[in-house]
Amino acid sequence: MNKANDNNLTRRQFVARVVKAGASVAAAGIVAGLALDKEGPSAQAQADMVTLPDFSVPAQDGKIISIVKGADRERGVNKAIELLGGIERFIKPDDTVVIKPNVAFASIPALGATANPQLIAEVVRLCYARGRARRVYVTDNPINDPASCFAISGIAKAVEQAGGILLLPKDSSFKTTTLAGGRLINNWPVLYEPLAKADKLIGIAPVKDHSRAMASMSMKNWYGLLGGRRNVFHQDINTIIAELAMLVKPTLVILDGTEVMMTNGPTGGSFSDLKRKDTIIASCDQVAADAFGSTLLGLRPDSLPYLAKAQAGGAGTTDYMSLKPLMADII
Amino acid sequence: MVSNQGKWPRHESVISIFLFAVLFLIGLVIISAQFDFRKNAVPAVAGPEDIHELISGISPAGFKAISEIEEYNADNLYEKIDGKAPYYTETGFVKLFTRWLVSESDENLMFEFYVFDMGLFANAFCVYSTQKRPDAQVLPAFNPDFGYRTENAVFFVHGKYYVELVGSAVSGELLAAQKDFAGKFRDGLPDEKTGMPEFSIFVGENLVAGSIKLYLSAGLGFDGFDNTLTAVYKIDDKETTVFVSRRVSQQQAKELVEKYYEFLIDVGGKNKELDLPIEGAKAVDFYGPTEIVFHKGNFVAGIHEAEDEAAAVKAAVLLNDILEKANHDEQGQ
Repeated sequence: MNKANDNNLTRRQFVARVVKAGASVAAAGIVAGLALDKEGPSAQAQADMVTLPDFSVPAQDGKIISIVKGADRERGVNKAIELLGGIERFIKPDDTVVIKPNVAFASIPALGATANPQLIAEVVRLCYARGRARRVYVTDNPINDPASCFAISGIAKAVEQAGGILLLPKDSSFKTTTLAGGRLINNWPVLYEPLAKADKLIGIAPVKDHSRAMASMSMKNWYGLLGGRRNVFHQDINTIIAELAMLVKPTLVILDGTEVMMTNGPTGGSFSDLKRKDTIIASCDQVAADAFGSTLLGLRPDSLPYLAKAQAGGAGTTDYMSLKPLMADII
Repeated sequence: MVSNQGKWPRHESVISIFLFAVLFLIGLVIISAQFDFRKNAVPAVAGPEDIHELISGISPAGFKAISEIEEYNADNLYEKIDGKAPYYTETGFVKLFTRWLVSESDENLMFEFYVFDMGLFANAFCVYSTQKRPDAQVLPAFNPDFGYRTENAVFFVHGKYYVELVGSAVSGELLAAQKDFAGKFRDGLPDEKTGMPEFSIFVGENLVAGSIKLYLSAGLGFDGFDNTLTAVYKIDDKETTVFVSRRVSQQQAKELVEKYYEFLIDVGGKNKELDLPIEGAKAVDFYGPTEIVFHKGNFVAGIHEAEDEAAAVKAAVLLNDILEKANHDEQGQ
């Protein structure tokens, strides 16, 4: 009899258990309720959200992209900008200019993994001398010790000698942004402070092989504006490059195909990874610049998925020939 | 079960406590066993502390360190090599050590070492061989398959380590320092095992020295080719790439031959009728170059993108003979 009783709950025991279970659920609900953020993102967080300015200049038919052949970078970039109407078209007196070179690595200039210091310095000089800019800042966000990257790449010294102002990123330099309609750039920190005080933005990047994206050029250069653990985007590299091209609307991009890193990019390491192509591209259309740049790597523009994505997002055209590139040879 | 008073019977409480105690003991035994396993599994070669000690002590004559040794793990490797990091982390990367060394007489002469601990020799050899520069020159005192130099840099693999010594200039003084570093690194780790049994397949006077490569995944662009070795043979003055991939059974090898053949046809290749004295061999005209694939025992083997058809056939026959001997030797053991 006892055994049978042991196997069955009494009504009193059952009610007690139900009450206990109910109390547990209610307690969990109260805790969850206390933890609930009824306001959503705070007003401060919303205030910290920024939209990147549009730095582009009015389009001029037939003056969108120029391609200059020649071994001398300084002469090449002068000619390429001259073909588009001269630096005066892009930089107005008293403008504050930000130049964003690719300074991703603490790597010596001869390895071609970073933007060429002499090329950057020449653009700084042009902005001051012909564009009569008030200030020219040079900035990038290499994750690995920015000061070392700017120093070892030779860019810090070259910028200083040309009168440019180097801006090393600080924590306070970043604000979060979201690309409307974007999938990856959502509430993500970007190097905003230098851009906030700029009237014009110029990107300078070398043409490089890239083990993940196949090619690193003008559009990939904006990756250096991202803060946070941006390596997560390597898993969807084509989308992030395309979204960056949609997010950043530069005044001008300069693509350096003088010595192209054909293999083992983006770091390289051997001089033999480089091949002379003696080409400088200046363009108001970064997609067109990269479409042409891909040919310097022996690729077809349609082999780079991010180019088509950027075009679909309205960042430019992959059909650079339709823009009737202005060509010159300074050899 | 509960009593009428709502209390657990004493004997059940005792049993419960006993069971918990048994589970707790099992947990302790498992933890203890894991520690033993780890202790036994770690080969008697340099661990992270030893390697740090070794590389911090290597000082080539006339050169001095100008930075601390930097260490990177899989979580932050991208900080150092950015877009190339995924390739390493997907290939077994464990740790990277880097440091700058500069000439005491000329500050423009410097090199940065990158010591990648890849966990296993196969991982290290994979990243070493697949990034090998076409202008590779002999690195004295190194097997040509395990070390080379270019104008400004030295690259080598030693055991589980892949090492790059990236120089700032083309200079005899710099190269001497890089060679010195490479030799001291290798000699400082005498227990590291460099090589794989499969390398013995690639033999003969026609083999181009230093041409062996290892693809741990997607060799020759085909997802089915993991753990695939390639090498270059020079036949009738024509360089021809051969490949070998070992499967766990003859049946699997046979099936993979079919899958690779279908893959080549699917991506635009055309079947090619060749007079091949190799049972079950298939040939494909792949937009001009010739592909050949066959199996011998557990090995899938073949010829990749041969420009010269006659050389491709000769290389395939040579490879078939080598694999037949390898199979025979294995069965005899």
